[in-house]
Order: sequence, then structure tokens, then C-alpha cells
Amino acid sequence: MTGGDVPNRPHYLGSDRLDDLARMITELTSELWILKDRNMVLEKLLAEAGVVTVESIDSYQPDAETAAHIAAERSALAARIFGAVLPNDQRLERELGTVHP
Amino acid sequence: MDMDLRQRRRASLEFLGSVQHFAGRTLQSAAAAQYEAAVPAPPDSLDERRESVHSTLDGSSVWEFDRFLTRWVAEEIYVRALPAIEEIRGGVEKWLDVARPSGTLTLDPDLVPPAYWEHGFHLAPGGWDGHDLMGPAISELVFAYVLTPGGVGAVRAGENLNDQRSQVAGETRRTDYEHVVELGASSGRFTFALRRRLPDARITAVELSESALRHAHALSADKGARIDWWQGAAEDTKLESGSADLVACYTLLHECPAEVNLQILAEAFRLLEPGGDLMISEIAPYEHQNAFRAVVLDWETENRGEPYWREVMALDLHRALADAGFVDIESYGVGGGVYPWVTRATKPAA
Repeated sequence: MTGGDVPNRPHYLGSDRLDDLARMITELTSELWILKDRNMVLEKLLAEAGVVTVESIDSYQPDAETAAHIAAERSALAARIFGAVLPNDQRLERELGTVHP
Repeated sequence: MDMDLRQRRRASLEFLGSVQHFAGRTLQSAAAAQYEAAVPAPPDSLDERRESVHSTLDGSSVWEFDRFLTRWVAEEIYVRALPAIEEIRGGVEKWLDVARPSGTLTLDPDLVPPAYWEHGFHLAPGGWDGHDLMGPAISELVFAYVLTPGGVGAVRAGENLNDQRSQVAGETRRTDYEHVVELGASSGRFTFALRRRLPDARITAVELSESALRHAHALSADKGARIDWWQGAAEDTKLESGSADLVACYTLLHECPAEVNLQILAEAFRLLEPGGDLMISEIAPYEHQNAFRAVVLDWETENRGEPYWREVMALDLHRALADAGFVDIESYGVGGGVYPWVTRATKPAA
């Protein structure tokens, strides 16, 4: 398959690399959507099976232990993504800090 | 056919529809507003319009991302629809293997497709028949999940592509035709609209793509719509001269080089009996579009696998029809707009 004229793909955002990055972001957004869609399907099926309801998920209030666990994961996500521009030794140090032997 | 996709495939195709809808409705509308505010009196010629729009919107985020996302979706439909249909191949093949046909399917094993047909057509990997299930993949999955919610080319987001075909079918000059030939029928969306409009006519639908014809043939059986599907080129159908009293085509002309358009008109003239009618639905000429819209449409030429779009839009269709021998030539927008756009003509009575 030649991919139509894909080998001669024009760019739209000022440079080929910028287009490449935008393509990656659109793919990531697509993957995010597929997961969200799947999550909605899961919620529906779980509710139908009487395991949980959407309301029980929406109204769930984390206890202290769960809240701390969620907060740690949230901080790690933010640090990984927005820390991607930091020097590698800092990134490695941060990541090693998440290891729990 | 009801095609139940697996969750990942369904969600990934639906995502494309949403992206195209957002680009077409929100980003493109914002870009149009930016242009119209900056250039209240745009030029008339296409070259000047193209230069005006591109220079005015240079660096505009909404314009550049609208174009980027439109191109991305156009490429991505194949990357997503073909694996989706592969996952359900068994059921699709069984459905395509029509047990109780309605009408006939005539494939030409010796067909040599014209070179222009494989020239980057719609960005399809390997050409339109680059995958044996391309017909159902595009005409079932991509139409349903991407093109209908998202729009494509001259069809704006949210417009119903099937309704437009029915509207055009309703524009035939008569309803008592005996033999209709449709050129470039693809999977038959317009053919079925003609079938509904002209229930007593014999209909022969000509198309190059085997995958589209097999898909159309299966749809015929589902619908109980008696149609004869015929593999061939619109400009050289090999059907009998003077055998039709209506020849019709829907958005075919811009898929072929301008010189082939002239051959198609000559073929239509040959196929028609004296007094027979020709009905063409195509993109409205640029003089009926505003400057921004004309440039967006023209953009398809280099960016969405429509290599002949620009040269065909530059063709004087009325003159070409007259040169081919047609009379009573008229064009108009169905419903008063510019899309769908219909041109009707008649072969002089003997």
C-alpha cells in the first residue's frame, strides 16, 4: 500500500516536525477518548450487573487513605508530563522516588 | 448491513466524526469570520482568492488547525475503518456472497482501470480497490461514523448525505423513464435514490470499483432493489448505444480529469436515445460560492486526494455539454442553495 499521497504529505502548522507533534497529540486524544468510551461502557455493564451504579461512583467520597493514594498518583502524572522538559537527572531522581520495593 | 464493531474500533471511528465536526463547524467558521472581517471585498478569480485567503489567514490558529485536522481525519479513516472491518470480515464476506440477488452483478475480469483512477484517489492506501473490503468499509463505516456527523468536501457537518441524493433524484425531468444508466455509482447511494424515484425503470449502474460493486449488489438484495451493477469506466461503458432515456451521475465529474469529463459527456450522449435526458450533480461553480468557501473547496485538490478537482471546477460545463450535442441545458441549486447543485440537459430528438 502506498498510502495515496501520504509520502508527500503537506504540512499545515509551519513545519513538518510541528505537524508530527500535532499528529501525536491527536492520536493521544483519540486513545484517551477510546478509554473514556470504554469506561462508560464498563460503568453501564457494572450497573446492569448490580455491581456499582454511576451514581455510586459519582457520589463516592474517598477516605483519607484513598485520597492520599489518588493525590500521589495525580502528582506523579503532573510531574511526569510537565517535568518532561527538565534535565534527565532530575527526572530520574523523581522517578526513583516513586519506587516502592 | 448492521455492522457491530468492537468497542475500540467503534469509539475510534466515532472520534474522527467528532473531530471533523468540530473542525468544520467551529474552527472553520471562526476562520471564515476572521477572513471576512479582514477582507470585506474579496477578489473574484480563484487564484486571487486563494492568495487572499492564505495570506490573510497566515498564522491563524483556527485556520491552520482546521486544515490540519481535516487532513488528519482524511488519512485516518483508512487506518481505522480497514482494521475495523477486518475484525468482522467473516460476517461481511458472508453478507457480500449474495444468496438471493435482486438484479445482476457483471464484473469484467479483463478490466484495465484507467491510470487516473489510481492517482492518489481520496488518499486511499493502494487506490480505491487497495483493499478488497474498501467498498463496505467506506460506504458503511466511514459514511456512518465520520462523514455524516463530520461533513466532507462540499457537504457541511451535520448535513444528511442520503437526503441530498434523494433531493437530486427528485429533479429528473420525467418519471416515466424506461432505462436509466448511472455513471460512477460507487456503492449505490444515489442509485437507490433513483430506484425510489423511478420504481418502474430498469437501472444499470456503472462503476469501476469491484469492492464498491460487490457492496452495492449486496445492498440491492437487502433492499429488494432491482438494479443491474456493471463494472466499467464512465467514459467507456461498453453498453449499447441509444439504449437509455436517462443518464445520471452524482459527484462523479470531479473524480476524473477534465479531458475525461469530455469523454464522459460524449459517452452519455452515445448511450442516450434521441430525446433522452442527462442529469449531473456536481459541486456548484465557484462564482456561486463566496471567496473563503471557494478556497476551502479548492484546497481539496492538493490536500485530500482530489487531484482533478481544480481543473474540473474550471471546466465550462454548459459549453462542454453544448459541444457534446446537448440542448436545453440548465443548472440550479436544489432547494435554492448551492449544494446539491444539478445540471440537466437533453439529447435532441431525432
